[in-house]
Amino acid sequence: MVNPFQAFRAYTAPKREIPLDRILAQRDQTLQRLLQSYQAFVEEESQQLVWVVEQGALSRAYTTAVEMLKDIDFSVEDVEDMCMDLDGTVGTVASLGAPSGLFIAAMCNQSQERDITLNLRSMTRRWPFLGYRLPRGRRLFLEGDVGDFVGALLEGGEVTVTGNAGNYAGIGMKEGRLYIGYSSGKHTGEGMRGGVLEIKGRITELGKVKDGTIYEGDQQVFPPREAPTSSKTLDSKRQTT
Amino acid sequence: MNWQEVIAEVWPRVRQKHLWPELSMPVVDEIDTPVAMRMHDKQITLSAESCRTLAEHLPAETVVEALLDHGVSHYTRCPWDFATHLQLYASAKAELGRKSLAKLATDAFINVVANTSCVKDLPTPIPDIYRYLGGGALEGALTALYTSIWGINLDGSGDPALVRRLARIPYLDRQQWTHSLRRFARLLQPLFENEMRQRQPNPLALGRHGLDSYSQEEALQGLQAFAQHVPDIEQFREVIGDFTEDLSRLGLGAGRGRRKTVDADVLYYMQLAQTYHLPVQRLPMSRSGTLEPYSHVPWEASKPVQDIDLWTSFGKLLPGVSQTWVRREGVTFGQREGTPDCLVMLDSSGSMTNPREHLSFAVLGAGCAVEAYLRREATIAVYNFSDAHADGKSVLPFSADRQAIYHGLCEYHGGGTSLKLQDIETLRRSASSPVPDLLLITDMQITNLEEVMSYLIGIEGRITVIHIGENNAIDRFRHVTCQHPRLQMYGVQDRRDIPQIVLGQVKQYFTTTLPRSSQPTSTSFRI
Repeated sequence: MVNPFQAFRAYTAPKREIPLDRILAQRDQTLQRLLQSYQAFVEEESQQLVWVVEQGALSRAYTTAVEMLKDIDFSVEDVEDMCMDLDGTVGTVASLGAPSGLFIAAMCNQSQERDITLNLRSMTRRWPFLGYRLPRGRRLFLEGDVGDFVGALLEGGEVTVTGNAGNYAGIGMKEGRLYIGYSSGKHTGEGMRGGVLEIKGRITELGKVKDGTIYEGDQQVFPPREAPTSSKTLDSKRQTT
Repeated sequence: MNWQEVIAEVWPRVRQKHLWPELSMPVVDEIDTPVAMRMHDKQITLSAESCRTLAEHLPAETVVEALLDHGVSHYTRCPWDFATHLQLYASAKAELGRKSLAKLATDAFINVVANTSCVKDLPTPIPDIYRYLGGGALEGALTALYTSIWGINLDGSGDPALVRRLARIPYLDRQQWTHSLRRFARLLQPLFENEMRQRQPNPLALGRHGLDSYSQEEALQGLQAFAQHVPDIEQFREVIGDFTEDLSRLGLGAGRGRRKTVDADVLYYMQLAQTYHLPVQRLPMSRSGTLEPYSHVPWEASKPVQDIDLWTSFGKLLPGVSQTWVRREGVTFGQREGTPDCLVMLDSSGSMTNPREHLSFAVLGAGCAVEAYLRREATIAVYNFSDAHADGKSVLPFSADRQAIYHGLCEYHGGGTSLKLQDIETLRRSASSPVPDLLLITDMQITNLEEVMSYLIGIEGRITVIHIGENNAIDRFRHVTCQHPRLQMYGVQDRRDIPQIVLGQVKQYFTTTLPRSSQPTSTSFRI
């Protein structure tokens, strides 16, 4: 018996391609490469059995992350997608607190765009170290609440947080501007050596500030306006009521 | 121009492109959106006004074909069915919080998916009409998005960064629609809010989509799927509460005046319960009709001789001496089995979960049992009790009215727990089947538990007890009733426990004699 559909055996329906297909394919490809880099970074970091937040470890981890991202061409939208993957809302990649935060910070610092906006409102995780070493000329807008160490070691960039910040906001920042829309946690401005830190809400506890300017609301809290010359020698630890 | 003639000319071509969907011939009418698709009777209606306006710039055939392509793609691609539409809305609501914004986001997303899948899969003039449809900032951004993802310049106006982000959403990946819609809604939220502030009646160029266009059957299936999908009753109530008018128009009983909140709860349990199919053991219900010898009467000459009892007639065939049998219907049951009516006794005391606040396994279990009995054409009575002696009870006589039954189940009294056995007995006697089944759902923290146990042990009929949680009272009940042949206990701690329930199961079906030592007493059982 002759197969009546024999003539259609070699037939394939014409596949139309629209730019959306190309955009999504490129997005998937970039995201795949970023995830591979992140996995490699996590493996590298997990060899350090105990991950301690100290200057040497941070610097080493950040350098590793930058090295991993060197050959990848990605945009700010890829950074957003990567954050969603790390948050666990889309993918199944393990998020590792400080190393993940450093990786995101490295992505922000290495991305092609100079202005980066990350919407953190829909994300469940609060990564630390967002805005770490953000260089001059770059602006980072973080919508929602952020974790600890936001704007750490800021190198001239501008970080704007629309929500609350955790502890150690602006730790060790050298220059640049960190703006927090609501309140910040303990040790705000710890070891700060320059730049401007503006907290629109309340500071839970100020850290040991070396230099720079800190505002709480509209009021300058460091250096105190009454005695601006002796500010460097003051023990600035202060409890707000 | 006679638009109906244009439609008649274009429609076969459109149907062929869409692989002959089962849709009737579209019509033209004066409606407030350019194109409307009524899902329940599969009727596409084009707006005469929109056709005329667009025909000033484009050929009439192009206008009709584009609008028909858009309408058909709602039927064949997105939203496809009621369940998908509802789930899309729920994800938009979760993201945006407000009903008006969520509806607008869902409509916009559905349009983008329908149009994009059409443009990708078929030769369609949809892009042409978007050049002339106009619209506000939202429609401008969507047109810019179309320019980006279709590769056709449509002169849209939108923030390039926003359009770049919107273009990265996988609109055609059905598996990711709910997640994609959340991203879509998040990105466009400022524009949605802006449109709502302007109170523009139709911010989307190709109109909006309501749930009232679906058929009642499809809506029921969709609600069922949605009830399974949502994690708790609260989200179900929130979403259904937004569509009370649409659902009322479909005759689903939600949103009638002051009882609308209750109706959403009822709808939730009703739809969720229908997804479980509990077995009910059938039993012979009607007697066989056999006439059995019962008593003697003196034989008379006019009576037939075949019933004469020779043993008591002394071998004589004499009127006044011979005796004949009087026959009565025997107690032998026939082969035909059925399902008796069921009396549901539901504990709604303070120790039980309030079914209107959280998913109550007691009410869900009762609902599953109700569905099982109703499916077998039995009737249900509901005795919802807390402290029945202090009037903490609501009673529904035997009925097959599903709505009324669920209303009875969803009532919550709170307070103490005691059962008024007299009420139970009255209800049992009012059943149409001789011996109704009994279903007791409780955590057993009943004040008069001993009395209840004695009562249950003493009555006829099959008893199913569903207990929620574990405690000493349950152990006591289990210990006392473990030998009861017609009483089965099931524990429900989780949804997964519900399918294990077998209603009306008996340990011994036929036991004709009992040893003398176990003649019925207050603690033994009657078979």
